[in-house]
Order: sequence, then C-alpha cells, then structure tokens
Amino acid sequence: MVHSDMKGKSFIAENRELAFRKYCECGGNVELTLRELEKEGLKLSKKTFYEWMKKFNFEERRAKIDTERQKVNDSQISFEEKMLSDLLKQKEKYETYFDSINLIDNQAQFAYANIIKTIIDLSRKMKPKEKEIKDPAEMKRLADEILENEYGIKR
Amino acid sequence: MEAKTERYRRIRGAILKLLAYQHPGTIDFKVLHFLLDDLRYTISEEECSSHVHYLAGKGLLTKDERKSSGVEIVMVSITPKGLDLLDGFIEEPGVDVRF
Repeated sequence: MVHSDMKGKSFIAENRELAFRKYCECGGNVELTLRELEKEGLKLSKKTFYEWMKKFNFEERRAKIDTERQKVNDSQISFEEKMLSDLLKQKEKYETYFDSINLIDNQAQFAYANIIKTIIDLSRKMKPKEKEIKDPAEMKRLADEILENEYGIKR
Repeated sequence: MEAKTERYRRIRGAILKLLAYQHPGTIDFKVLHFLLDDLRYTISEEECSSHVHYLAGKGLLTKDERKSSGVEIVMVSITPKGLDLLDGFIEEPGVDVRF
C-alpha cells in the first residue's frame, strides 16, 4: 500500500527527472524546455524551474552527460576515418618531398601511386551507399591517366 | 608454440605477401599498416615497425627512408630472398607463409 504522501513525493521526483531530461534534450535552453514540458503535461513557472536547476544541479549534471557523450562519440570515429586522415597527410608529405628533390625517385613515385589508390579504395569503402559521380570504370581510367601523365607510371 | 608467437609469424608472412603483390615496387609504411588491418591483423604502428625491422634484419625486405625539406617517408619492398621464402625455396622459422 502506497502512502499518499510518499506517492506525492514520487510524483515530484518523476517530474523533476522529466524536467532534467527535457533540459538536456533542449541543449540547456530554458524557454524551450518549459515549452516541451508543457507539451508533456507539466506546466512549470520559470522561477520554479530555475529553483530546481540550482537545487538539483541541472547544469553540472548536463555538462557531465555531454562530456561522456563526447567521449563515446570520439571513440566511435572509425579506424577507416583515422586511416584516411593519415593517408591524406602522407600524400602531402610525398608531394612536399617531390617538390624538394631535383631528380626522379621511381620508388617514391610507386609508393605515392599506391597511396592514391588506397585513398580511393578506402573512400569508396567508407561511403558505399552514396551515389558515385562517375562509374568505377571511369574513375579507374582517370586514375590511370593521372598516373601516366603526371608520373609516367603505366599500369 | 605460443599463440602470440604464432601470430607474429603470420603477421610477418602477411607483410611479405603484401609486398610481393607490389614487387618490384614499394609500399609506403602507412599503407602497409592499413593493408594489414584490412587483412584483420590490427596492430599498432610500433608493432608493425618492429616486424618490418625484423624482416629487414633477416634480409627478406628492404626499408628505404627518404628525408627532404623536413619530411620523412618510409617505403618497404620485398627482396629476392623474401620471394624465395614465399615460393618455398627457403625456410625461415620466424615467418609463416603457409596461408
């Protein structure tokens, strides 16, 4: 049997948690939070809401949740995305190297062509559902053209 | 043989196979690292570097470094001895090429 005063306290606690949840969903915007709460059937005055914010540390709790959420998001950056970023940096290194030397370095050119190919393959793998601007045969033809005209490498 | 050492042998074999595919060309070290991950051998760059160093010490691959204008690039290529190992003409206990 639930005592009526306990029932009332549970109701307030639930409303408070609803208010906090909406506050987080609304990105800390109090006006928007109050409007959303009203839609849920909970009409609060700004004064009451600010009191709850202060008494129950809404801001601090929200900041902690945001920090944790960011940590989770960061860890979900895929290996492919990191690899693509590393490969693009590596490509720039090779380009800087080529610009700085006065001779042809065939081995480096071969390795550079491999980087380009890997970047193309990886980009395609990361976006399989997107419509390609050119079809694969056309992409291959373009890549071959670049390798031949720019680097004298024939497949 | 321990599972860990078996894994090391297979990773080294995988490295040689990847290099053989590009022979006589080279692969950039970072590309090699990525290709190993593509083959489900997810290892750190440090570990990859350690295996490359081992294989270079055995004469199975060469590691070329280039430095210019403040950039350093590392390229790897298989040697004739490395190809002989893959073709079964020689044996090397620290490398597993049987897959």
